[in-house]
Amino acid sequence: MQSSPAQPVSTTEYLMFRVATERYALASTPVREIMRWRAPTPVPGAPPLLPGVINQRGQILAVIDLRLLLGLAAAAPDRATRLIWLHHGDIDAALLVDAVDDLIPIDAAHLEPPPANLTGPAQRVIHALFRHHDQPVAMLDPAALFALVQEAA
Amino acid sequence: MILLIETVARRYVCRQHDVDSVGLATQAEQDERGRRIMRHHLGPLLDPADPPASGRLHALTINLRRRVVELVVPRVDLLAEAPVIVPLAPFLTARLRLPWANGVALLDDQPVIVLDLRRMAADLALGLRLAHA
Repeated sequence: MQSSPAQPVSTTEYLMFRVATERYALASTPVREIMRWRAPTPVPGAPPLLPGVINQRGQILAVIDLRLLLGLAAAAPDRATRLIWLHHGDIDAALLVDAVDDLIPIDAAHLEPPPANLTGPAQRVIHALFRHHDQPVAMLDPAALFALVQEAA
Repeated sequence: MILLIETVARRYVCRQHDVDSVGLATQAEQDERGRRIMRHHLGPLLDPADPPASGRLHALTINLRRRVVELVVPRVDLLAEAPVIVPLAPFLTARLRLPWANGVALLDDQPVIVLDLRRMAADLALGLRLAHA
C-alpha cells in the first residue's frame, strides 16, 4: 500500500464578529487588537460613519461604524460592543462592531464565492463566504472597507 | 504655543498664532477700526450636544480684513507644555464637511481635537456652518 503525498493546506485565522444579526469575519493579519467600546472624541464636521477618534496606547485611531458603512441603522453601544484595530497599508482605524465572537482557522478550500445577489456596500466589501456551524459568515476585504469609507457619502 | 479651550461639554486646542487676542467677551458690535464683530459660541458651532455657555465668558478674537470673528467660550488656558499633535488620518480629513479640525493632541491620554480657528473664522465670515449649526 502506497501512502499518498500530503496535500498542502492553506489555513488562515479569521476573526468572527457580529453586526446586527449578521456574522462577518476578517483575516486576523490586519487585526492589531480588540478593544472594549469607549466613547470616541467627535471630530467636528465628520459624518456619522466616522463618530470620532480614540487613543489606544498612543496611537490615534479614527473609529468607523461598520453598521453605517454597511447601510444598516445605527445602534447604541452595549456591553458586547467592541472596537477592532485594523491596520492595512498605511491606514490604522478602529472598526466599531456589535460583538466579537471567536478567532477560528479556516481552510481556503472551504471558502465559497459571495452570493451573486449582493447589492450596495455589501457587494463591495464581501469577498467570500464560509459556513460556521451551518451559519453563513461573510468575509470582509479590509482594502475594500477602507476604500468604501473614503467614498461613502 | 498651544491654547486649551474649554466649552461647556468639550475641550479643544488651537495654535496661539491663529488667534489675534484673547480676552473677556464684550457686547461690542464693532471694533476700533469700525469692522463688524461676528460673535459665536464655539461649543454649539462644533457639536450640537454642546450648549451655549453662560456667565463669565472669554472671546478668542480673529481679525479678518473686513470682519472680526469672536469665538466665545467659558475658559481658555495657555498650555505650559506643548502636547504632541498628530495630523488627522487623511481618509478622515477628506470626509470633513468643513476643514476646521486639522489634528489631534493627547492631553491626559485623551484625544483632543486641534482646531484651525483662522480657517473657521474665514468660513464663518462667509456664512458657512456645519450642517447642525
